[in-house]
Amino acid sequence: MAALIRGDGDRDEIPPGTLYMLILKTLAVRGRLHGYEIAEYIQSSSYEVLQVEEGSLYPALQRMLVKGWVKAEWGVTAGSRRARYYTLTPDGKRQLRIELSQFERVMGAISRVIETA
Amino acid sequence: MSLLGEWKRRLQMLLHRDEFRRELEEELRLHVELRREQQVARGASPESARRAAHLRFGNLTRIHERSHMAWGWNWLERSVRDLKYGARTLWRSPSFSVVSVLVMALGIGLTTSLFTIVRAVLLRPLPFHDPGNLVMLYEHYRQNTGGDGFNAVAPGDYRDWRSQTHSFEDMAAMRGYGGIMSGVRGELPEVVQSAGGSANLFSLLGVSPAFGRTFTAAEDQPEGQPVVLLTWSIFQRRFAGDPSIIGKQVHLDAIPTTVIGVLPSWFTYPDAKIQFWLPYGQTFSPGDYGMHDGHQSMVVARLKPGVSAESATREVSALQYQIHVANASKPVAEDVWSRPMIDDLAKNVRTPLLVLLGAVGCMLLIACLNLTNLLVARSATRRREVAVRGALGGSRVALICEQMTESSLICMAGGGLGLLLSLASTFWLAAHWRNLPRAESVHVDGWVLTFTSALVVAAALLAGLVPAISSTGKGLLSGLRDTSRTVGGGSARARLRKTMLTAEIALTVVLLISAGLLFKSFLHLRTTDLGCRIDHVITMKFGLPEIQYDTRDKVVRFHEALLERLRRLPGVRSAGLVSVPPGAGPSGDRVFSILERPAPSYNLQYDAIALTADPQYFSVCRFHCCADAFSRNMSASTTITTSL
Repeated sequence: MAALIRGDGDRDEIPPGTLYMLILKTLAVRGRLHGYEIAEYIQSSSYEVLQVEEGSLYPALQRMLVKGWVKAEWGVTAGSRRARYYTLTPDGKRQLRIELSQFERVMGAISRVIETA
Repeated sequence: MSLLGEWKRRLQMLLHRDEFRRELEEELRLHVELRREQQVARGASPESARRAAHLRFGNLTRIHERSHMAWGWNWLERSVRDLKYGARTLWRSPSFSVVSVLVMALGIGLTTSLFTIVRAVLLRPLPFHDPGNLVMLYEHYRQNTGGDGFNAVAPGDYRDWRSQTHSFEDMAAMRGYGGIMSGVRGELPEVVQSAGGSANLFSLLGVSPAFGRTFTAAEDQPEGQPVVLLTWSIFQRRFAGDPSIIGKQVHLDAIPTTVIGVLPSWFTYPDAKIQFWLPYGQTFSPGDYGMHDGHQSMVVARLKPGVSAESATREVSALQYQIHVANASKPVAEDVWSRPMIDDLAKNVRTPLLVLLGAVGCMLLIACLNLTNLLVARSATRRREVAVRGALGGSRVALICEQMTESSLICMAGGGLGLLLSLASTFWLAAHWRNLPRAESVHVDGWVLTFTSALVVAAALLAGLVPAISSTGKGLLSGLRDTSRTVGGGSARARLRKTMLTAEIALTVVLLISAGLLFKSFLHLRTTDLGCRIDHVITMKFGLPEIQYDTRDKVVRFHEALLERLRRLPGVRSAGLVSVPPGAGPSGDRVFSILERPAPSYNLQYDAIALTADPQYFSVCRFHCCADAFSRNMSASTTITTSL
């Protein structure tokens, strides 16, 4: 039964250090989301390749709250249940730009190494 | 700016911890719920959907913990938990807690008191302008045998130093003096201590008068216009703090003198008993003002910026040697010695204070060792508990921290109590130690509080670390295997306790011996035979203004009339006169010569303490063996001739 969720081999863990960037980007694209939606969006928009561990998602969201990159407020879901919704702050937008440029630099470097090999 | 916001958010989270926990729980619950519904929508049975959702979610408590940790308050929560635990264990054994808190309170309180006094007297800069550049200059005799080598200065020497040296910004002189102050019609006469100060003394020290002005150079001459500066104490006591006294006259030794100013209340240098200041020059006769062989003054000098005390002293010392050569037949010193003003002020109390501080430090150490011993003994009874906690995964650091909290709590309580104790005792000491210079500046301030906090931390570490480390050591788990509930543990722990006990006893013995010696000296001092009866005897002191009592006849007539009237008072059995009563210390020495045996050199002259007394005096005091008692009071090199 567990196979319904994981273990079909083509899902990967999120590379370390990129979780913040993914969450920030998700919020930048979709605006106001709660935790489950963030996880689902990352998974679906990566064509089911990337899977966000809940064990990392919530601590990461808390750290981003501390840093002031996102802010949280309570709202009601489509199924009319109370949920905590996260939105990006100006600081978060700035952070996203920083993380993106860092990521691109590193990725560019890595791909250059791989291509020459 | 963003850091500030971050701390604000963290603080808010800390203040609303419970709300935070509830909200996180709700958030996580919703997540699991949504996941389950997703599984059901994909066709799983409700039971397996629930299982799968939980499986994917993993350890809920762990997520909770990690989300919580993101806010960075773990350390605080852990210490609060430790504190609660420590307080609970202390509460369970009240007698142990009370005793150890009291022990620490005594140790910390005493050390704090002594530090307060040491700081005020020895460490805090003088209240004068730029006190670091102030030095005191003294004459020094090369063949000096007794004393500390610092001798009072002659007015002639001071005046030459001031006019002929270049290392000092300025140099001022002062001397102790006395006087009778009365109103212009001779009313309310009182004998008081006074001092003579040169015109530049107050500006040199950076003291400006509370009212009026200080002396002018013209007044600072033997025959200058008679003027007086009041200290705050007599200004309040005698003149009720009324500034209209300035410009008016009082009688000093029956001389009409104009009050020109009042010194500020904080100025109690060099002695709080001084009631008024005269111009330095006016305390000398014109003939004596230039003398090189009469020594009574103190000289304070301010170094020029960039000039060291050594080189300045060398310069003035060279000048003094010239003066010495020019006055070869008289007792004129060869050298000049200097010392910083603050050392000069504290010279008599420095050693006793430091000794006391050492003794009190020993006491604190004993208190710490005591607490350590108590904690070690207690930790022996808690071995199983510690072993169980260790077995359940408590790290050694966590276990040590927990045990340290206990000693920290004891030391903090002891420190708080000790500080109160010290406030009281400092107040008492400063009020009762009469000869302590600058006693008025003794009070608790931020530095003392810092010192006490440092003491608390040091004591907590000292007392808590040893038992904590020893009880969580390698043999930790053997506590679980112990079948009997014997107290004491292995031989290593016994050795530890023995070592500490030995150190404690050694320290105690040292303290006991020194305390015993001190007490013995004290008893000696109290029971010293003065050679006369001192019970039912009271002494009083008076002085006669020379201007009114200018002939011997007048003085004798006054004395006779005084004794006559005193003896007739009811309750008075007899009355006598003496210049210095028994036990009042040496005073009034005179140099004399013997025709047949001239003095070997100018600075090894015959010198005797000379007292005067009336015939009745010896019967009043009932000296049991008059001559013997007197000669024992004299120093060995002097002989005594007392004419009656």
